[in-house]
Amino acid sequence: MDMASIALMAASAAAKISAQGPVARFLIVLACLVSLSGCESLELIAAKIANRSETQSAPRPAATASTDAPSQSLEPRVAVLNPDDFRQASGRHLQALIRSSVAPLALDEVGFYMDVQNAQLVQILHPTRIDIGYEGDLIILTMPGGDSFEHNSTRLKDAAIESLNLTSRILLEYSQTRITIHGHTDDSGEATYNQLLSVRRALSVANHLITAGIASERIAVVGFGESRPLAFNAAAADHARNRRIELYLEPIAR
Amino acid sequence: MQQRGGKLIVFSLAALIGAGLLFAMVTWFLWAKSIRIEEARVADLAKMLGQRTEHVIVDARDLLDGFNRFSAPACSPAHIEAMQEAAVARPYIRAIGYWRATNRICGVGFIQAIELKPSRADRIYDSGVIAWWPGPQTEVGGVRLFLMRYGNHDIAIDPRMLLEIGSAQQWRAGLWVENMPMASTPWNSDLPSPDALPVGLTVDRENGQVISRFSLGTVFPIDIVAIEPIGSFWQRYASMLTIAVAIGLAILSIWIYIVFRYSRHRLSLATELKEALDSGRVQAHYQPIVNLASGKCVGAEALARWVREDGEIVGPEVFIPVAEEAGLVPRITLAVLTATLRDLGRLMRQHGDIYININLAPEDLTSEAFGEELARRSKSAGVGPEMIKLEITERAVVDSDESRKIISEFRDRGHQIVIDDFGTGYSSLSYLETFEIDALKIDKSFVDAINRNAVTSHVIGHVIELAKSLELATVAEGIGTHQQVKWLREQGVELGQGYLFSRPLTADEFRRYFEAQPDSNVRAIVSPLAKQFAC
Repeated sequence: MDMASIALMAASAAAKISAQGPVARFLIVLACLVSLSGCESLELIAAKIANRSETQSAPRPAATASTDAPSQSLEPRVAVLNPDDFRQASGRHLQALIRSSVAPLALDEVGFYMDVQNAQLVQILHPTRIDIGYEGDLIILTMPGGDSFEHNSTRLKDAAIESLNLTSRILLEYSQTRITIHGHTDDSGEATYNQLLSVRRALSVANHLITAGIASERIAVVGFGESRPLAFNAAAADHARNRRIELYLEPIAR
Repeated sequence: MQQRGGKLIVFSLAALIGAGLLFAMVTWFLWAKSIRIEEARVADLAKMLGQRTEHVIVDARDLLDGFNRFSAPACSPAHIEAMQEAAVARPYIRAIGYWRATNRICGVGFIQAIELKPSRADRIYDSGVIAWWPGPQTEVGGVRLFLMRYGNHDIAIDPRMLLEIGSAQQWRAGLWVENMPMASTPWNSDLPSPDALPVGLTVDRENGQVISRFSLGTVFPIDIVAIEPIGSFWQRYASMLTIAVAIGLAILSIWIYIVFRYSRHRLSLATELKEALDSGRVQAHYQPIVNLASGKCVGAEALARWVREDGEIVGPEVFIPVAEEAGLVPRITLAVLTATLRDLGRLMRQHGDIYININLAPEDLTSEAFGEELARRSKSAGVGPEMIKLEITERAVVDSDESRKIISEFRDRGHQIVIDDFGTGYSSLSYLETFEIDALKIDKSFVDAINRNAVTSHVIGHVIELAKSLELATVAEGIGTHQQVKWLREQGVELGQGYLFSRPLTADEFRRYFEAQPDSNVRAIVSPLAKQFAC
């Protein structure tokens, strides 16, 4: 189940990057297969995608991947947002979520809701290495890359799993929170490959949250690859900082 | 008069400044002490309130932590009961609740349906404790509550309890925690922010209040601001300040008294004496001088007497030192001369054989001024120089060529020179030969010793012998007994004066005394009775 969904997401991400068409279809199928078999030859796939991109230089799709992804048969569904159109895509996702929500927050409750949610996150994540930022009505949880994933892997480390379990306990209680998972990498390797890797890692986190019981509708993922570094990629420490997963928590309020 | 007025002003100023300074010092000291005591009192109170607040906050957090770890299922009877117990045991807790996100699932409380959802928290601590300071959004039933939430539990605290100090205070007070207003009494008091105030006590005279600010900072920064009407501050320290005023007034009185006494005795005695000289209130009294053999009064020694305005008569032993200090001695001599000529001029003109001794001070012998005055006045009074004898002391004549010259001039004019208090001054007798003198006055101390002290009696014998050999007349002073008269007469002393014959008399008394004696030509037989020594 886990691997299947991850493969699906990887595939859809690949589809988004490369031009649509028979090649893309092939790649998606290949990615799915490879993913299911254990991700050993991801570099190979990425290289192929890169080659295609170079030769074809086709325009990228603007629509959210989720609607385009051939994922009819696979549950749960997680929205994968296009990083180039992130702001609009994210907005559309949130609006759709509010429309479909059974009990969105009243606007005058937002402050209280976010305050207490933040306080409980602060309390529960205090022992972990997750960094919490809180400003306005946005909480940003940053999982440091070095601690979360093995090198070049989408598999979560035990410590990261523990942190996510704690986080999901609060997110389960605060059901009117939309979770956008941002994946970032450092700049070693090909950009396209890094983009794919960041999406896959974000999906890995999303998957974990869904497993913990959080409704998949509340979750969106986006992979920014190496495009939004926190630090200039000079030293190993900078690389570690830049490799990261960020959880953007926003109120679902009318 | 001007000098006196000036001195009076100076003394008054000194008195006022001195008293004012002392008064100010005492008042300042007690005022400062009152401030210190008040500061300590308010500081203690602030400390107590601060510690209580801190305790309440820490206690609330521990309670919340305990409930978060509570083993029984949420909202089970055991859970509710535990919350109930905690709330009942703490008067400042208004409610405890169990929440899921924004929904209060269950809880206990003295305020019904408490489900406050203030929009923004004032503090979210690193521990995850979140707190809302009292404000419009935390108001329930007119009371603004302090809310604290930790995990799934929250506590509502009535902050008025934090400032509750039992006895009714006349002050307005405010409690700040983490620089945010937590509570005030009375409710909604308008108090200045502690940041704007200095630590300690500030006396705001403009608004008639005493403002205190105290800060504590152990777990949280806590500030207390209290405003008290200056009236109640005064009231509290009234007794102390009354004492200050009383002490001040006492010091003032003592000071003024001391200054007054001093000025009366020192300063104004001199000026008063000067005034007395100006207005002729320095008079002469006359001590009769008697011929010891005949008992006949031959003259008198004029003694200065100061009749003060209140009629009190002051003797030379009091005012001569003052006069010496003030340089008034020549004026006193002149005053005595004036009085003598005025009082007895007529008597002297009528009885050519009477004479009056006038005492000269050393100052009178330093210039010729007195000699000229004496000549002029006695001449205009029709009194011959032989009728005025001049008494000078030994110390006035010693080693002074100037004095010697002036004395010589007196003699040339016809005055006789008498050495006063002979034998008490200088042992050197050389002046007896170098000065031209006419008589010696044997001091009272020698006369007193007659028949009492053999050694002194021996000395007086030598003095008399000396006078005889120098052909000087002798006058014994201070004769008090007939025995003394007898002895002196036997020794050949011709003249004497003393209380045995008469005390010093006023001019009128002396005239009567002199005229009441038997005919001056009749030589009366000396009677052992004092009365018969009628002058």
